[in-house]
Amino acid sequence: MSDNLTVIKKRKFSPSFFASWEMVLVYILVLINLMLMIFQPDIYFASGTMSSMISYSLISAIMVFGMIFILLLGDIDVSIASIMLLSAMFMGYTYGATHNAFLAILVSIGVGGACGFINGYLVSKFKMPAVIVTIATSMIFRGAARIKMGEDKINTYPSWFSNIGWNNFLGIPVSLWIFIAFAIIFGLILHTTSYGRKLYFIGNNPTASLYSGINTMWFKVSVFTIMGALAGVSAVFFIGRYTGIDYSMGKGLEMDIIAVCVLGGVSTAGGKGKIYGPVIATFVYGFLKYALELMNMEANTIKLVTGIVIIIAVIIPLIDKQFIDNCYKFFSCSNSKELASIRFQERDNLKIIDNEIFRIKEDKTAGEKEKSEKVNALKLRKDEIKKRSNERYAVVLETVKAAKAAKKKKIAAKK
Amino acid sequence: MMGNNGMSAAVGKRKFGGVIKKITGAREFGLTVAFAVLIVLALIITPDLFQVETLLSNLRNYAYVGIMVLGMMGVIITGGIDLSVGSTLALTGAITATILNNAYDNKTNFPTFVLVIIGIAVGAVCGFINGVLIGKLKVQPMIATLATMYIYRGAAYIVSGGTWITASKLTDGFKNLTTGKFLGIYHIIWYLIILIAIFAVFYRYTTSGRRFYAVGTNEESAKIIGIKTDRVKILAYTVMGTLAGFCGILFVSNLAIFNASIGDGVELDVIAICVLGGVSIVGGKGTLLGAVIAFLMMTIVSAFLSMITGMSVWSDALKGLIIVVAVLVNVITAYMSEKRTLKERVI
Repeated sequence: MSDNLTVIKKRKFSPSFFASWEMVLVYILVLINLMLMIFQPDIYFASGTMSSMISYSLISAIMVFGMIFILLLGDIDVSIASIMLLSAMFMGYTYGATHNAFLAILVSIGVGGACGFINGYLVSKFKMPAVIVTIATSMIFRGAARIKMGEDKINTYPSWFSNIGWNNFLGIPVSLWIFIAFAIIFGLILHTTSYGRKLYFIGNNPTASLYSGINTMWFKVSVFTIMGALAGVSAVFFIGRYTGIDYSMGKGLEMDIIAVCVLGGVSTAGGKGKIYGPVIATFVYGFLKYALELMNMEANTIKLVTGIVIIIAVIIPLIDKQFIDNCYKFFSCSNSKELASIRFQERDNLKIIDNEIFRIKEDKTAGEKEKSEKVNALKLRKDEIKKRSNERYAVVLETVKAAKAAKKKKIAAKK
Repeated sequence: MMGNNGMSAAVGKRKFGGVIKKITGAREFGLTVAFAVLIVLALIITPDLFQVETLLSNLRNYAYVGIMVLGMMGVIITGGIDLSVGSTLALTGAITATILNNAYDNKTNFPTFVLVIIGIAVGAVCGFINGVLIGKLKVQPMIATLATMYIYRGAAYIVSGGTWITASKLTDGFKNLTTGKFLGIYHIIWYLIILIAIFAVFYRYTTSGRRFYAVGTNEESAKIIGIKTDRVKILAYTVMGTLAGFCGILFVSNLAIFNASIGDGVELDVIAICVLGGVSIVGGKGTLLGAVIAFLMMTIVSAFLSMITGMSVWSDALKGLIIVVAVLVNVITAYMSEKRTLKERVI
């Protein structure tokens, strides 16, 4: 940041930290909690509500990490819910046959990984669009599960799975422990290893990364395989919460996961996003849903509200200087470029003078009298600038109006 | 592919071969062959399928998907995607069905054409919101329509109150909107045919239609040429929404039953048909002919699967498999033709 020539200033705590997207998510999280405290105090302060809220948010949250990776590549995977179903099915059959929980979980992860591998191979080897491939494979995986299961339910799972979904360990839900462990592992992979840097590289420019010697094809396959394996892990959580499955298990879950990632600031265009945004967003999304359920809202009203929240979350980062300028241009300069540019020029000039005044005031070498003289001169200059720009504005306004009137006349003449 | 044909004509050799190449090299050729094979297969396995009445009734129940394909094609050509069509369909269905339900309770008669106008307007507004989010606010199409999918679906439940509205509540005029016959063919199929004709002209011969391709091929250069890309996108999504709204009415009228979960997952069918028909998901490529052939193929497939007993559980998996294979074939033929073009350039 600094070299030897410049005077090293003591770095102040940046106020932009509080306006960063992750902090906004934290505010929303606090807001949800406050709202619950105010509207449903007896439920909120009851023992166990907090931990059940957390477990509820984490039912399928493990898949978020895989989805971050895939979105960073600029791809998307909508087949994860179907992969989860397929691996849950195989896990159930394996456990039913062998009563070996370890083997069952291993099979689940293996099946998930294999499904992810198929996705990744189709996407990267044949350069097929990821959306279509995963839509199709989601149909295939769910269809395959349905062919095998029919309308049956599978309940042959180890009974201790429900600990993950419902119980606490040292006062904190078991699922949260596992989630934190996964978050740390994947955060380290993403932010400290070369694998993580390559993810950003490929997401930002696949061609450049190919030319600089990254084997993008197998890299993509590996990312999709990780996603599939995580879906297999997630099946354990899901069964821990709901004990049994049928063929409609987790339908529409993929959209929730993608929504969480987007809410957490991961760009679907690739190459942008951090691990802690989605981690916080997981809780925001889960808490929001739980809070709405506590307020006795219907399932479909909740859907509507979550949709609105996603849109707001996506639009908020768009509100920058450019956006505000455009709004200003639209509302107070009658949508004319010329008028707006006069105003913006005036604003910029005034800012320069303001900075100058500030500099003079801070200057310790000059005397008080000298300072006030200089400041007064600059203030006069400011007034002059304002006056001149107002005059110009009035002149241009007339021409703009005349042009508009001429246009109207032309249209009227045409008619 | 077109450039390739032009090249061979310029060389002046193999004129007849050029014609054959033009036919076999067309994007739709592989699809047509697949379609023919499928029909032969279906003929062998279930000869009952090929009775006019069976075909017509299958087409009648699947026609609304075909209508939405026409709009979805435009959206995908501009480089976007619309996941909210199923929910838009449900929302317009909810509004029209609720109006009819209330009219029935009050023992008044509600004119059908007003219902159609309301439905189309609602659909257009839904599409317009998508368009503004994507075109003006530059939200990713996938995310914007994902969110509006939730919103419209929730709104459909709120409007209808989550109840079933059955055939007895709907007026005969409304039901006749689709199930009536003209020249022996159901009205809904006529709508499909008319809309296909309109959109064939729209995508190929009108300026607005060509702008879709321009925006999808290269948005930056389209902007430099002077195309207002945001407006083109808004138009694409509004057309899509309008068609989805229209389909909402047709759906309720056709099945004479309403529930707020109608059209759940139909967006995937629609997108799949577009891709099957050779519309490139990254934008800028695709013809209506291919999409229509793909639609007919999917109609046959779903009819075929419903004819064989015990096959209904297979339908999803088979559909997915067909999509994967079709996209794979598309990718491979595109790669081969690229290679061929390069070879001819060297000569």
